[in-house]
This record gives sequence, structure tokens and C-alpha cells, in this order.
Amino acid sequence: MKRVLLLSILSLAGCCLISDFTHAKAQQSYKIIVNLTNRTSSLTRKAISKMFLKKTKKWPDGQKALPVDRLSKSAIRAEFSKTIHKKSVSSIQAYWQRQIFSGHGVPGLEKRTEKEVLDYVRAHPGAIGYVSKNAKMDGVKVLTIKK
Amino acid sequence: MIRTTTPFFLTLLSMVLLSGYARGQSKLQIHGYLTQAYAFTDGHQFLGIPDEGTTDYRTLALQFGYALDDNSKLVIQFSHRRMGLSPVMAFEHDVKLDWAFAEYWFTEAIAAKVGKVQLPMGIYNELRDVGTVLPFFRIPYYTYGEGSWASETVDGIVLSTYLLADSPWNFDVSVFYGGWDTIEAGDPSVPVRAHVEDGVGGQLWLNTPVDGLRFGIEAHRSTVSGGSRAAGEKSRATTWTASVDARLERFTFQAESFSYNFGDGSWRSYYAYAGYNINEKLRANAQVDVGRLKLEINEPFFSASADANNRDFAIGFNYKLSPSLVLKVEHHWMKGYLVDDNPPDFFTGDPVKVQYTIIGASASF
Repeated sequence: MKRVLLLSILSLAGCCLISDFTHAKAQQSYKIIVNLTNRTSSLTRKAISKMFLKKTKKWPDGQKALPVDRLSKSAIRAEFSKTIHKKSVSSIQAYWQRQIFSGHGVPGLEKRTEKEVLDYVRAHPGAIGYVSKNAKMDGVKVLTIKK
Repeated sequence: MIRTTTPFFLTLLSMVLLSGYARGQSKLQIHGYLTQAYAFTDGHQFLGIPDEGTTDYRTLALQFGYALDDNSKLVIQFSHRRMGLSPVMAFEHDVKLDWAFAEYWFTEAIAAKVGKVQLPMGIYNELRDVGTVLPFFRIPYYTYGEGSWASETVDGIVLSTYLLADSPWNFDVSVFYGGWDTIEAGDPSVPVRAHVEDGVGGQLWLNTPVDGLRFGIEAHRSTVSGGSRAAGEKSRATTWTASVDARLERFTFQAESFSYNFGDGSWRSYYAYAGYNINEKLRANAQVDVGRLKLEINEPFFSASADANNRDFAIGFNYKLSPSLVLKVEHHWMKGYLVDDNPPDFFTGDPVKVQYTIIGASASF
């Protein structure tokens, strides 16, 4: 009985441990977008991450960077976080809590829908956001992620 | 009771009503946090926790930030803290002004904060009570104290900058100058207020190419008056802190060593913490926290020396219902001198053992 119990506990722990490592490697399903007037056409993954974490506050031309995220529960935010920040959404949220409550900064805007992200990026010259690769990119520019 | 619980319920209500201001880029930003706990010990009273247990154990704060323009903002934070039956509570107001400062960015990399500003010291000094980001209810006691030898804030100025920002190896640097009030609790049953002035120091963080791994060092010196000193007497104090902070995706390791030299002696402490995310919601934590007091008194009619060791070993679990709502349970095995009730004499007494448990919930917005 004890062995069964021990095996059950070990199996459960094993499942918990590997659950996060079993994500299938899928093709990136989003595009990084900026305002049409933005002169930057490509950025490295790290540079994009720094901009969303507000470690970089300005574009190369001096324009204020305005990152716009999706809500934390959206699937596209989870993928963006994993591929750009190399961290889970909850890790990024913990980062922001540390920034807020140590008085160092507050996160950028969060938008509920893809349309809201597109509208915001169209309206703000310094904005940077991400939308699904199938979205209509009228009035915005797609940024290339440099290797 | 009504007096001490009013801030708790007001903050809770505010958290619900104001949570909309926590997102976005409006000029006014409002954030807050709350941790409410139940705690008990197996005998002695320690850190305000009696053996019969207490629910009068909480921390909460409301923070208001207002951006004047792209480069400057004003920040005010009010807080409320209850530590059960701790004698330190005699110095706590129901609601206190935590921070009040103006921040100005001269360039993208250089900023100044003036006013009542967070003191940059070690990993946790700026985040003392934010339960949703702390593994345990309290940050390591022997290193950070409860108002002793350190302060969450400095009344003065803090200058910050980044060096080599585009390099994989880069630095965050802060220097500060100012003063603060502190509580000396050499005898925890009779804490006394002291005042620190001309505090000058700095914190240096080296960020490494490994995302989440950094090394830090902090040092400051100051002049202390009041407390256990005679009227008009002042003493010089110096501290330094060395830190390792590895915050990886699933595993966190942190260790800090702290040294405080004062008139007749010294306090040395260190802690090591390890945390492991079992899955997205559940986290296991373990920590050992050690503090050693050395006293050498040589006066014409009295001389004595003490070498008093204190240690606290803790294990705990955090369960994240969401990133902003965390349940916590922790158990500690403490052996030392710093109990609230009848603390043993540093010079002649033996350390006492106390086990204590804290069960709580933390929320933030």
C-alpha cells in the first residue's frame, strides 16, 4: 500500500514537473507591428523584449516607445511572452509587480482585442504591439525580428 | 480593534474600486497590495506572534503615481502594518506615509528621486511587504530586520543610472544621501527609536548574460543618535551587503550577506533561499537565515563580551490563484535570543527555540 502511495505521489510530481516542458514547438503565429511613420524596420528579440519591459524607453530616433500588450489571459500574449521574453506571462507579471512596488515603473497599456491593438498602433507614432499573423495590417507596419 | 481594522477594510474596498487605474498609460496610476495572515508559535512570542495565535498580522499599502510629463512623476504610498503583539507596534501608526517623492529623468539612463524615497539596499529592501512577490510573509529577518539598522526609505535623494546598457554584462547603479528614523531592538521586548543622519551609500548590481542572474553589493555609512545612546551621544555606523540573485524560469536562488558595525560590536547575517516552481501555480520555498551579534564592552566598571547566534530555518508553499492573488503557508524553526517575551541575556543566557507557522493570503493590483 505504501509503495502504491509513494509511486502515485512520485508520478503526480513527475507530471507536474514535465507539464511545462511538453509544449509542442509551433510556428510563430503573431506579427510585431508599429506605426507607419516609424523608421525602424527590424529589431532583435532582446530589443523588443526590453521595449515591452520598458528597459528601453525610446526608439532610435528619440520617439517615446509605447508598448501595447494583450490581456494576460490571451493565448497570443502567452506565445509572445514565451518567444520574445523567454518567460511565462506570470513571470512577466511578477516582474511588473516588483517594478511597481519598488517604485521603478508601471507596465504599458493592455488591450482586450486585436482591433484595439491595431487602432492604438495606427494612432500613436511610438506604439509597438503584436497581432495574429492573419490580421489585416492596413495602416500599420510589420517589424522584422532580427536573428 | 475597529481602529486597527479600518485601514484594512478601506484598502480592500479601494483595491476593488480603483483596480481599473492599475492598467494603461493614464497620468494617474493607482496600485495596492494586501497580505492578511494567521500566525501562531509553539511557546515563546516571536515577531509579535503569540502561542495562542493571532490574525492581527497584515501588511497593506496604496500607491498613487502621477506623471507630470514623460520625464517626471510624483509618487505617494501609504501603508498599514500589524505585527500581532510585537512591542515594535508601539511605533507604528495605523496609517503611515511610506513614500513621497518626485522623480525626474535627466536622460534615458539617469534619474533622480527626491523626498521620502525607497532605500536601494539588497534584493528586498524596496519590496519589504509586497506579499504577492515574496516567498514568505517576511523578508529575511536577520538581514533586513523590522526597522532595525536599516530603513525602507531615506529622507533625501537617490540618483540612479545604468552603465553599459547594451552590453550583456551591464550595471545598475544607485547612490543615496539622507537620513531616516529607525528602531533599535537589541532587547526585542523594549525597542527604542533612533535617528540616522548623514547616511551616504550606494548599491551596484551587475547584470549578467544569463537572463535573471545578477550580483550586487551595497554599502553605506551614517551617524546614529538616540536609541540606547546617552542624550547628545552620536555613533558612527557602517554596513555592507553582498547579494546573489538568480531568478530563473522555474528555479530561484538568492543569498545575501550583511554586515553592520556599530560602537561596541557588530551584527553579521546571511541567508540563502531556494524556490522551485513545481508548476505554474504551486511553488515550494526553503530558506535558512542566520544572524550573529558580537558585543565587546570595556568600561571602567564593567566589561563583558557576547557572541549570540540566531538562526531561522523555514519551508513554505505558495499557491497562485492568479498572479495577483497568492495563498501561502510556511513553517519556521527558530533558535536564538530575539524573542519578544523574556529574551535571554546575550552575555549569560542560552538561546531559546521557537517554532512558528504563518498561513496567509496576498493580493495586489
